Amino acid sequence: MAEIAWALGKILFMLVFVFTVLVVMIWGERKGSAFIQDRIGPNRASIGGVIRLGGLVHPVADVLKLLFKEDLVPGAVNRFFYTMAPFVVMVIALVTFAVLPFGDAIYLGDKVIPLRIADLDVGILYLLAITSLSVYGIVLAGWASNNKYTFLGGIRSTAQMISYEINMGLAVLALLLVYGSTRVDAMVVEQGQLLFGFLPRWGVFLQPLGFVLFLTSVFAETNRTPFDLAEGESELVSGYNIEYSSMKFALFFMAEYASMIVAAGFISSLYFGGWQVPWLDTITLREHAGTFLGVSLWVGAVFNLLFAALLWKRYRRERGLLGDRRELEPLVLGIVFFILALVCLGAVVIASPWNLGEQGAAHFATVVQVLSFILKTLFFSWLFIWVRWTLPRFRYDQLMKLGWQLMLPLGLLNFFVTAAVVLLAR
Amino acid sequence: MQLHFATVFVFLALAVGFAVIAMVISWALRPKKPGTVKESPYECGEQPEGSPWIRFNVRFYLIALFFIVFDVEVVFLLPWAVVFKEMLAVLGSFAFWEMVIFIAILLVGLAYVWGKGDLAWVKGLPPRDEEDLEALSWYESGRFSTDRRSVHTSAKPEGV
Amino acid sequence: MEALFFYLFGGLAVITALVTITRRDAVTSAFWLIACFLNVAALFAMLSAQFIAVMQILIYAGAIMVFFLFVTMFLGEPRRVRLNRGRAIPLISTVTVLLLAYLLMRITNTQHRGFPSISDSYGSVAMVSRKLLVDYVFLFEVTGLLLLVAVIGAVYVARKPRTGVGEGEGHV
Repeated sequence: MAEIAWALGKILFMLVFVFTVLVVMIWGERKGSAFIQDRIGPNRASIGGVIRLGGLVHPVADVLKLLFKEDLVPGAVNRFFYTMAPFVVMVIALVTFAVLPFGDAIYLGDKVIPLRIADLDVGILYLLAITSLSVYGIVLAGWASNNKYTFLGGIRSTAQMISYEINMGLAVLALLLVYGSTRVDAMVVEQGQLLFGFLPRWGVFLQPLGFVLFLTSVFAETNRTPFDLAEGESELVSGYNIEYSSMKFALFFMAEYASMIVAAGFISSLYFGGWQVPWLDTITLREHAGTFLGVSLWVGAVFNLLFAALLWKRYRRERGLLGDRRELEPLVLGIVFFILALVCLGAVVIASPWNLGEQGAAHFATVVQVLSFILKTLFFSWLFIWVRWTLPRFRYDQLMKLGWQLMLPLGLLNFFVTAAVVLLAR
Repeated sequence: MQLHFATVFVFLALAVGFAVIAMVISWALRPKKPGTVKESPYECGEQPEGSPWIRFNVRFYLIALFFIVFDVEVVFLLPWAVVFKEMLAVLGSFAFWEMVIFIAILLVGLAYVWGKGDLAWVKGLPPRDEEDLEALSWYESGRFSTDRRSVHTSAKPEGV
Repeated sequence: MEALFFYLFGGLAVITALVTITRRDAVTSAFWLIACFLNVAALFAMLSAQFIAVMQILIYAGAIMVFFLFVTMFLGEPRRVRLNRGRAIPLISTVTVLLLAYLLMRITNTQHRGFPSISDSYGSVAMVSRKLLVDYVFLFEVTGLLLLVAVIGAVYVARKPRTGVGEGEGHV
């Protein structure tokens, strides 16, 4: 019974995590593109005319807007498959998370609850299998919509995704050689050691070429620029999702970001140590838990106070400039930061975190590791945005040439060399 | 192990549940006013013309064929990669060579497809008329990369 | 609990298979066949055959069906492309029903001996790999040759429609 409760809890945590990062990512996409293109970006949507959070309210407003939009279903569509497509895309994007470890484990006495949703023996192969299915959502949407653009978008992206799936498979094969296990959690555990005594033993240092191949294939699999030919605004308007509106479109939109978050999670788990904190293994983290916690609380208190002071200053400076409730925002946020600073200080003084006890230290280590995973995932999510607003789109023949004539031989070479090294190093 | 697959299934059910709930809420809230104009397929504001299910290029079909073959090959290498370290202890370097043979056979196939020019997306075809020739020479002059070997044309490539 | 899931997935597999063969439109059929394959994969997973389950998804549902879809979509408009039932259908279905009846009869007549209990790792990736690479290594290499033939065949077959369909019609 307790096991089922834990499993449900982990699934819910994962869903909440995905949707939170999703909102942050949509915000990051807009604000990041604005930053790269020297614009201001979204800043209008607000809660009560006061809280704007630099545009962070916009994704929420978008979802609300799409909820209230009329759902236009063009005539002559294949209604069943037309309705199925957004579900398929969304569900497949979410389900991929199942084998992704987002932390070490929660230790409750002698009970160990590993922090991943399903402990499948097939591990990373599950990722490959689900990725191979993700083609169908797009092909369904493209085919069932009774529209030329969607059809072309669907066909294009199918050919693109299957071409890069092989390269992804080859990169994963080389990883299997290195780690000798299909389980993602085993791979992450192995990455906790040190290489040559000073580098973290991350996949990216063991498999640099494999990492580049995997990263490129993942970009192609998520239909993300420079591989977004399925959407190709200049040619196909918006590709496979043109005929969708309202919540159906929202599902496509969210699924696109969700799959990017999964991809970021897998990149960080396979090549960047996942939940491992570089140079700090679990034992060290536990031994010095009290010190780390105390120091971070002090740092937190100082920074929160600093933010509060800056916001207060800004409030004083900008008061009367806008002439409406918007100028209250620095004040409100400043108060929030001030309260946070007080909480940190209070925790330092009252709870005396310098002495956590064994259980507390274990929990502290787990939390830090989960945070490490979240930070890495956020960074690679940002990488997707960064690349999108930096690189132009490929032409279709270039895409195919890159996939089949460059990456496939390179992937095979990488696999062969890795095997040879393993053979010689035995 | 079955328990863990059951967890995946629960996850799947929850994900579907989430999507269904979102759709139901939206269905309850949104206006429903269909009309003939709204129902017409989107074609940038023009009158839709012809069937949307156009015939697409045969190359897509070829890519799918190659994909099956190479995917199966990757799948056959998977078990080998998983137990390679273990097999080294049992079989010695034969474990390595059995993979090398397999990949070598695979490479013959790749080389064949490559040599036939079927991996190149822009595959040259004999030009049919003046217009084709003109297009071709333009195509080759820029930074376009074509598979020049199979282009039977007198147009001299100028650039790379 | 296990029986419940077995009947759920088994039933779904049968239903989707029936839908597959009763659709007149080839593309729709192909989509239903994918659903059928997924249910079969779930059945494999329930039998502790994890590797086979994943391969079922990866190869059958993920690769071969993409090809099927491409071929059926390549044929053009769904209203025009109808699956030809042919006159052999009644004969084939009669034979199938008879075979099925015979199978059911044998199953119901056989005494249930129960299944041998197997460990959870029986169908795991490592177990399958050991079998494949030690006991069946020759077949493993022959499979490589088979794939080579498949590649060459693919190139050869794809050359044919090029004259018939007309290259100029290709829309990228």
